[in-house]
Order: sequence, then structure tokens, then C-alpha cells
Amino acid sequence: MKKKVLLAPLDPVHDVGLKMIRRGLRDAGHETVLLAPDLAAGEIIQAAFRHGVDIILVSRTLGYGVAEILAGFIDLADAAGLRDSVRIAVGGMAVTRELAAELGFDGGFGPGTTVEEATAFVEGREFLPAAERAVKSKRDLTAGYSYRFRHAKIARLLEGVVDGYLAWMDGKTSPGAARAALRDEFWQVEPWLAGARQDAFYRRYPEYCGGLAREYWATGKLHPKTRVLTGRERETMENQVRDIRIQAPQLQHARPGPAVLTQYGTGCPLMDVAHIKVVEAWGADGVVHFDPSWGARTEGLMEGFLTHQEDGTVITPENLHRIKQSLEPSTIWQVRAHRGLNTAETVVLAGKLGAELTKINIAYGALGGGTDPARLAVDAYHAVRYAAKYNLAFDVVTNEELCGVPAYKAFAGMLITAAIALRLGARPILQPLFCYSPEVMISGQMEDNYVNYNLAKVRVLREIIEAPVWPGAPIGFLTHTEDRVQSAVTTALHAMLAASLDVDAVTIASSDEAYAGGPITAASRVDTLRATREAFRFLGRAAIQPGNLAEFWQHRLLAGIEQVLEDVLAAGGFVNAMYQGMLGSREDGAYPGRAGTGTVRERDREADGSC
Amino acid sequence: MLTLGIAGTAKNTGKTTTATLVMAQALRRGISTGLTGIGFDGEELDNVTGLPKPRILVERGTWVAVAEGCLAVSEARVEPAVRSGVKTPLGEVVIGEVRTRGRLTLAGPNKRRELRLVLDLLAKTDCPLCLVDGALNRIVPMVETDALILATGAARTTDLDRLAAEAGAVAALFALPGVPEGVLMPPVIALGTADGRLEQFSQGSLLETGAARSVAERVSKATTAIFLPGIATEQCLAELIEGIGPRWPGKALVLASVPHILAFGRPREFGGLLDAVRGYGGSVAVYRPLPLLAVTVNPFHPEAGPQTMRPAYVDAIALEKAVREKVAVPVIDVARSGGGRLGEIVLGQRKESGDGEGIGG
Repeated sequence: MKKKVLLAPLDPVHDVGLKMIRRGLRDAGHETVLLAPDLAAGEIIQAAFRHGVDIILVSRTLGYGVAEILAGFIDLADAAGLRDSVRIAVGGMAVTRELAAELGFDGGFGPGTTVEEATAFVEGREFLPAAERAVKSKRDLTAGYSYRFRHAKIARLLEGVVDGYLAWMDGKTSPGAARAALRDEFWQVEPWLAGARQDAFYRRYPEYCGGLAREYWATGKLHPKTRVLTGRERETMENQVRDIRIQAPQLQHARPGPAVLTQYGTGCPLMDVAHIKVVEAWGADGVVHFDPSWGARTEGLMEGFLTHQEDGTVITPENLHRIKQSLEPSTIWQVRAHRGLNTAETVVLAGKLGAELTKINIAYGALGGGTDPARLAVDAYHAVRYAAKYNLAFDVVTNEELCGVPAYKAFAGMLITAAIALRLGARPILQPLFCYSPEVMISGQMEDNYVNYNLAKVRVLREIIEAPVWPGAPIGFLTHTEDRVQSAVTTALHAMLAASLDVDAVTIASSDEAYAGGPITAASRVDTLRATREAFRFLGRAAIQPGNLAEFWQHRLLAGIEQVLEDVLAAGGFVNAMYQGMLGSREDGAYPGRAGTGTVRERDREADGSC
Repeated sequence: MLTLGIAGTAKNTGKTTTATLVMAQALRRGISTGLTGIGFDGEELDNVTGLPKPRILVERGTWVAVAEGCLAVSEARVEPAVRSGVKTPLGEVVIGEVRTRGRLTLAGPNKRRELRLVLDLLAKTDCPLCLVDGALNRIVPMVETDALILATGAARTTDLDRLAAEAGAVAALFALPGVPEGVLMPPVIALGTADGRLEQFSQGSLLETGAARSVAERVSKATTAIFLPGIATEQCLAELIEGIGPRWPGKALVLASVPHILAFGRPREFGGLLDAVRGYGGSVAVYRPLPLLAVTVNPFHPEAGPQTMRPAYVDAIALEKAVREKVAVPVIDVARSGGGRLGEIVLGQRKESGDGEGIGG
């Protein structure tokens, strides 16, 4: 039913908001009467009677003493008998629902109120904010990509590298591959949750473990820096997981992307859940599980609600399961598996527990992550196949850049892993770093700006292949300082560049991540999410125009990638090339890792140890 | 059930403290209380000044009428029993019993008619006393209560003479007599005669210049009462009074209630106008009298600091003295003297009213 609405600026000057609302109400077919600003309360009530209105919308900027003016207005309306038939709302800066209740109004609209919201009030409908109405849906970062190679020569080179790798791989296995196979075949989530014995798994699992994990399975002894959650902590976490639900807002503006992911890994699953709920509440589209660095060097996983780590949260079925339970349905969940001796098994566990994403990169894990290249080359083969089986897409991170490896070498490694993934039926996502890396510090690519080189990185990848791109991780790596404002700004600017390039996702850090010197605070996570949202709002569908050098860097990167791939083939294949430094040398700062050295075996002895 | 409203002349005048003390006194006497409020109370920091606020503490067994949205954020656990159908910005008002004592976030019915509905529901809980916590300077919904405590203080103005004069004017208005039994208030402005005839006008309030003049012109010798069920601006009221002028003797101006007069926020000016009626030989009555039991005073006021508001205080003794000189009902600085006196006044009053049906009518 059409309504007659009185718009009353109970304010000396401000009536812009009411004028905007008037337009919306008129469009919806309602009749409006806009009064002049600064009328006395009695005059507004008189006008309401004279025009016979159904609704009064009052606007007023709040300050000390203004609350009494608004309350006085409501009292007059009540005493005049107006409130029996007319509904009255107040809008203005600092107005909240609580304040509206305190002042006695039927509704209150603060900053950010949409015309639609005011219209809903006028029409007596319950207003469901956009975020609640359009339930945020989970993004598939790889949807719509053909993975078609656009650069014929590089496609050919990669084909050769992948052929060589698969031939090398034939018949090889490792303890990590064996554990993954056990986990895949004999460990199921439902019986585990029900507390059923899964002897086929638990009886054999310890024999494929080493060091810490073997001792854990034999004696129950934990890693020295971990302990089990107390009963009280467990209870708090279960309550959090059950009770805290978030209406997730949208960070993006005008453009559909990029999805924004944040990392968690406080060391404590209870704190992780709290941090996850905070970032969801401020609009994060996904979260990334960080595990402690020793997890990559430990042969085998443990179990239980383990806490108290300092640099990541231990991967156990219990920790992962509860964290997954705490997530909103729209939140993308990534469990990293990329660099260590548990790569393949982590992918299986993540897949069984419902993750959408994992992280795998053979070159980075072997050259910057500390794992023996041959061992990781074997484990990653299985990891990629499990990723395909469990429908997990994964980013191919290039963090070896942070060690000092030039981008073109890191990209060659990334492309090799991606090509292997495509051959094995998986969905890789390319992850160039948006970072102020040692390479650019030394060679000056970012002397003038952070735009050209980061942009060139994305463009060169797109010149080579049609695949999803997810700059990370986090964007703006090494541009943060101890100043939270500066850190939030630099994150937001990198996010804006990413949006301008229409990439599929970004990972952002908190504003205290680089310099926290200890636990990251939840508030600093809000800093960068809020700043990123503002950057997206600022940019909309506009775009950042790069300088002339961007194209130059793009050509240089492409030439470098081609050269490296040729060198890899000449060196006798991918694995040899990693040992020989073609994908990052000791001079660059990359050293072939040693964890798992000598553990690759021929498979014929363990026919069941493969995917 | 006696319903007691606690209204303020401004924010931060001590309504919540007064309500808490009255509840504590009732508890001490073993009297269970009901509680609702016409605004929102429960934030740690004031919505406007950012300064800490006292919170309402409710005991187990208290019955409350509170917006649903407050339940989850209250420390006190309330078991809802009845839904009122009254909607507020924070959800529907529900009636429930406090199961675990604690701080309560209180938002309730915010208009007169809805407060009536909620009080009727609370009356069914058999609590002998029900408090209605006010909000800011709002007073009109309090028409539905049986008696009132008025909280005033330095937050209204730090000019003690002005503050006392205003409190005096308000208290004097509350002393206005009621109408004789059987007299009903018409829904619109009307002129009544001794034999019960009514000449009705189209409006309930006098808000436009000229409207009062046409009412005054219709006043005749036979007119004994001029009924004003709504509100009137000072200018319109003056026009009406002057328009009748020497014809006032034998006529009464019947106003809806004192809160209706106070809604315009200038008690001294309205008091002066009513004096003019009496000066002409007429009389003034209110349809719904509302006994003022006490005035509480609070020396606190927020003051602008270099960057934020900060708490400040006027001389408490001077404040109490100044108000007491102007006000005929008891004046209490509750923070200084505690709730004992307040308890005697409120709960004593309940005894005088016999079976607890209330003292207003």
C-alpha cells in the first residue's frame, strides 16, 4: 500500500540523506513531503497532522544535547496522539538501533543506511540487509578456466619437462606416500567421529612415521612445544564452534572479485576459531591453515586437540575438524600441504575433512621449504593425484622469491608444478608473489613504484596460460612496517592493484603480522580487511594504469622463463634441475632441502603405497 | 500493583541509580518487583558522551518486560513467559522472570499506548510494585504510571538557580488537581457545559496560530470546561487564555496530564500561562493526575575535556539545598544518602494506598 511520508530535517542544515531517501520513496510510488530544515518540533507535528501522513522520517546529526531534542520530539508526538497512527524513525550520524530505542523511535538508521532500508521501514516490511538476504556463496576460484596454454613454445617445453618427470617418477614411493595411501584407504571421518577403531589404519600407520611422530604413536609423548587442550578449553572451543555464527559481509565492490583470504595459525585451535570468526565478520572470503614449521620436517602426523605452538597450529584430525565446523558455509578453507614430508597425507586429510583448497609446489618446497627435491617430487606426485581425487584446487606458491630467487626462475618452477597438475587431472592456481622481494631490492624493479613489476608478473602468466591467478601470499610481503596504519594501507593498495588486474583471489596479512613479535591481534586483522574493502570501494570498475616499464618487465620475465625451462630440459629433467640450481641457485639464496633425504624407494616392495 | 515511573529532566540525571535503589529497598522488605523501561539502558558507555554509565542490576524473581534483543546481551538470565506483541527497534517486548541475578540490558515499550499494554501484562504477575525506568528527558509515556519520581541534576544545567526554579515549576504542575469523578476526556478539543453537553472541534491539539482563537470565540457563558486532550504550543495556549480573557471565571481548563504540558520542555513558561488562567478567575485541572513522590538530584554532569567528555560535579549540598527550597515534595541526593528515604517514601506510599491498587485512580 502506498504511504504518505513526512521527511523532516530536525537539523539546522543537513537534509542530504532525506533527499536521497525521498528519491527512493518516490521511485517506489510513495508520496513524500519534505520539510525545510530547522523547524521546531511542534511545527513538524503540526505538518504531520496537516498532511495526514503515515510515516515521519526525522534526520538529525547527533551531538551532546541533541538526544534530548529528539526525545522531546517523540514525547510531543506521543502526547499529541500522533503515535497511535504514525510510525516515526530517526536517521543520522551515530544513530544506532539502541539509540533509537533509547530515544523512543520506532526505527533508527545510521550511516550506511540504504534507501532500500528506509523504504522497507516505510512499507512496514522487515528489512533484510543485502548481506543477509543474498547469502554469501562460496567461490570456486578455478571456475570457467580452460587451462589452455596460450604460449606454444612454453607449452612444448613444459610438456617435455612433465614427460621426463613422470618417467622419473615411475615406480618410486616414499613413507609419505605410504601414509597418504593408508589415510586414503583405511581412515574414514564418520567412524573416526563415532570413535570406532580403524585398526587397518592405526596398526600400520606408525611404521611409516619417523622421529617425533613415531615416538608419539609408541609412547604418547608430544612435541615439546605442544600440549593437549584442557577440558575447559575444549568446552570453550565446542561452544564457540556451535554458537558463533556470522552474517558475512561482502568486501568486493562493483567487481565480483578478487576473493580475499587470510591466514590463521595462532598455535591454538581455540584461538584460531576466534580469529576466524572475526575475519569472517569483517568479510574475509576464505581462511588458510598455517601449521608449524616443524610439521614439514616431521615424518607423520599426530592426533588430538593440540595447542600451544608458537608459529602455526598443529595439523591433527581433531584440530582441523573443529576448525572446519566453525566456518560459515561461504568460507573457503585452505589447508597448506606444500613443502614437507606430510604433503600427500595432508592433502588426503584436508580432502576428507572438507577443505576446498590446498597448496602444493615442488620447486618451492624443495628449494625454500627444506625438503629433499627427490622426496618432494615423489610425495607431490601423490599429493596432486589426491587433490584431483578429493576435488581440491591448489595454489602453486612461489615463496622461493623471498629467499632471493628471481621471479622468472620461481615462475618456471610454478609452471612445471602446474603442468604436472594438469597432466594428472588437478586444478592448479598460479600464485605470483606481490612482494618487495630481495630480487627487486637488488635489481631495482620497484624503485619507482610497486605497480609495474607486480602487474608484469600477472600479465606474463596470462600470456602463457589461461589459468586462475591468486597473488599472495600475503600480498605486499616485505612492504609492511611496525606501523599498523602503514601496513593496512600497503595491503589495501596491493589489493587494489590485484582487483584492477581482475585476479581471482588475494591473501592478505594482518597489519601486525610482519612485526608482531608474537601473537597476531584480531584487531590488526580487521585493519587490513577494512582497508581492503575501502580500496575495492575506491577502485570500483576503474583500473590502475601501469607505467611504460611494465611491458619491459613482462618481456624480460617471459624470456627468463623460456630460458629456465630449456635449461631444465638440458639438465636432464625437473628433479636434477632442482639439485643443480636451474630453478634457484645457492647464489640466489636457494638450497636444496635435506629433510627426507634417502627416503625415496622403488615401489615394487610396497605395492599398496601409492595412489 | 503500584506502577512507579522514574523520569528525568535530561540524560545522566540519575534515573537508573534511583530505580536500582528502589528495587533494593523493595528486596529488603521482601517485596517482589516488576521492571520495564521506555528507552534503552544497558550500555557500558553512554551513547553520546562516551562516559561510563551505571547498569541496572536485577535480582532473581524480578519480573521484567524487555525487548527480546536484550536477553542475549544481558548478564541476568530471564525466562520469557509472555509475548506482548509490542515491537521495538530491538525486537518484541517479552515478559519474563529473572532466573539468575545480574546486569540487565533494558529496552521496553517506548510509546504511551504500548506501555499501558505492557503494564497490564506485568500486573498479572502479582508483583506489588512495578518500576518504569525513564529515558533521557522523556516523560509522556509515564502518564500510564500511578506515581512518579523525577530525577534532575547538573546534567540538565549547572546553573543551580535555574535548575531549582525549573524543578519547582515542574513540582507545582504535578500538584494540579484532577477532575471530578465521572468526567471523561473527549478525544478532541471540546467545550463542556454543566449539563454535560459537549461542543467538539476537529483537532486534539493546538499547534497552529488561529486555531486557539476559533476555540476561544466559541466559549460561551454556559461553558464550564475547556478540554484539551492533546498538546498546545505556548503561543496557542496564550492565544486561548487571552481570547477567553475576562470570561474565565466559572470555567476550568482541563489538560490531559502534566507530562502533556512538560512535553514542550518549558515548565516555567507553561506554569506562568496557567497562572494567567487563575489570574482571570478560571481554574486548571488535569484529567490524569500523577502524584510526584520525590525529586532526586544528581551533582554529576559530563563536561567537555581537551579531547573527550569527562565527568564533573557541582556542589552536591548546594544543589540539594537549592532544589529543596523550590520543591514541596521530598528532595533526595540518592548517591549521598542511599535509598533508605526513597524506600520509605515509595513503599510507605504503597501502604497508604491500602491494597496496592495504586494511588492515581
